[in-house]
Amino acid sequence: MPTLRGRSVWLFVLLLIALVVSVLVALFSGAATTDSVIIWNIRAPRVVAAMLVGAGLALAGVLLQGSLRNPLADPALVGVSAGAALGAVVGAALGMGYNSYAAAIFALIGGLLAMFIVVWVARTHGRIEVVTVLLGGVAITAFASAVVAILISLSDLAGSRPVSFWATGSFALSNWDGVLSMAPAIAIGSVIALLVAPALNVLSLGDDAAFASGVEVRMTRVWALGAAVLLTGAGVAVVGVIAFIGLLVPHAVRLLTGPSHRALMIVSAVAGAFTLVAADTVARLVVSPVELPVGAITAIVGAPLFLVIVARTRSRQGGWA
Amino acid sequence: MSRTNSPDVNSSSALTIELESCVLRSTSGRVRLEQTSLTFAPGLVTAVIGPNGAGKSTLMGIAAATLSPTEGHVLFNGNRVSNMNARQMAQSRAVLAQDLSVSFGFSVTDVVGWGRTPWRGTERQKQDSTVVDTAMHSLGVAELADRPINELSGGERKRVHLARILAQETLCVLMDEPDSDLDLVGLAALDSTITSMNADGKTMVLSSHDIQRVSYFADHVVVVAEQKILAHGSARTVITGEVLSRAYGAPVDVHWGDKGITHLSVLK
Repeated sequence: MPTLRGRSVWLFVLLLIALVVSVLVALFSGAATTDSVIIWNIRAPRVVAAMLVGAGLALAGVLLQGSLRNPLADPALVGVSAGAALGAVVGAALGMGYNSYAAAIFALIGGLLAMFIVVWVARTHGRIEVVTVLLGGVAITAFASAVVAILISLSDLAGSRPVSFWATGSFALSNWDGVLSMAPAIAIGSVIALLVAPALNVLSLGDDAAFASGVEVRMTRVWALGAAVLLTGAGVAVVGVIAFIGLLVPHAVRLLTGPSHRALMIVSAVAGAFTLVAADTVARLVVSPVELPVGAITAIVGAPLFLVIVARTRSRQGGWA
Repeated sequence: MSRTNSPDVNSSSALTIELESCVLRSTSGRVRLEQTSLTFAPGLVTAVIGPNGAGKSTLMGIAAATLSPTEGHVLFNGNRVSNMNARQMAQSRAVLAQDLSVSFGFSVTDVVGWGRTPWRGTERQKQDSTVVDTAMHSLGVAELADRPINELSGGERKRVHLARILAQETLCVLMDEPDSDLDLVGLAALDSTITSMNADGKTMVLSSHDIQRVSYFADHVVVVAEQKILAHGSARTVITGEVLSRAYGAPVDVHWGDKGITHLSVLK
């Protein structure tokens, strides 16, 4: 079975070119463009972090949407990102300040807990209600953000990352250590994503019919949601919470590649990487020398589009039954 | 042919489904199916009939092993389904549920292809495209191949799912009210599909409200009423005025002809 066909291949190639261009622009624009130390030690890790986080968030979005059978899911909206941020800050509070690797592990634990709580609350008769997942995400995000704010106010925790860093996300503090700390989780999450892709397709039939077709529904969902946490959590520890990438990138890509999950994943990963590198470059340069938080850029574009998708999904379903 | 851990399930030429003292209670304790022991005759068409809310879907779900009974066991050719995995079950039986919704815009070919899921990684995978093709042609949906399934009419959608179930190549097919929203032509297509699947030796179990139509091709009938089985056996011995009157709580008049029921009505 070919994983990429016709239009998907073209889209993949186009996005790859766009990604390369955006990386070059990101590396060589702004002040001191000839200073190799700045380019190699400051901009390069920042660009690589943006690529990894963008690809990870987009893949996490595909996994959440596929396993919950709903186009409204996003790692930040379901509370996983906020849980991961809380985990990273708690890790710093328990330990001796900010350490990339410890932060990544604590963030993954926080994200996993958030995912577990949300799914547990939304379970009814063996099914998962997406509206309840999103409401659970609201509650978890509010709670986690509050605790993060309190912990940071109490002391200079998390390597002087302010509350706003966790809330809106920024690549300004990315370094090679940060990149290395998130890479393993994102790599493992990507492999799991590609492996569950065929089962996620069949899951579109609904739990019972997918099971009757030979899919181990519960295990598929556990792997998909677990991989979504891996793809989100480790990145949050380095760059904070960036919303809407995981929602919008798969949604837009699906319109072009069709819903088949393996092609959707491969193209979405490249599209997510490109989108976040481009968004970060805009955040860095648009009102230079002042730098905007990248999460603010993605939210300004993402939130209105989210409302459009909500309205469309709602009218198609005839309400939230 | 198949590489499964329970070869006896699939090496036979037909599937026998047995319910051993099965009971299903909902989490609130309400009984959805009272203690039931029943064997679905292999290679025959069994129709499950009964009033709304009687427990037809529950019985179908337990027989298909998509619902787990609170007590008792379900056996496929003598093997407890609790010892089988989803894939092994899917190599034995296919299920047409009442809810045929598909999320996202998957195409007709995609959906029919999912019928091949239990055969991935086996010898039979080589025949995937042939089987999918044949199934789409025999259900008359080949020309819809690239259309998103959600844009089709209810009848077309049902034919696509029937093709998916045919492509699953199982020894048994269970259908929960497959005739619920079909027009005259759709019903004729459904009935000929059922007959031809059965002619291939498949064990067929289907539930329906259309007792008269079903009487023309069902070998066996199970009458469900008030969460238990009221009667079961050959169609002619089970579908009688007396049994139906008890099942539906109203006097029913039945006349059998040579091939099936010629007249069926509720008496005032």
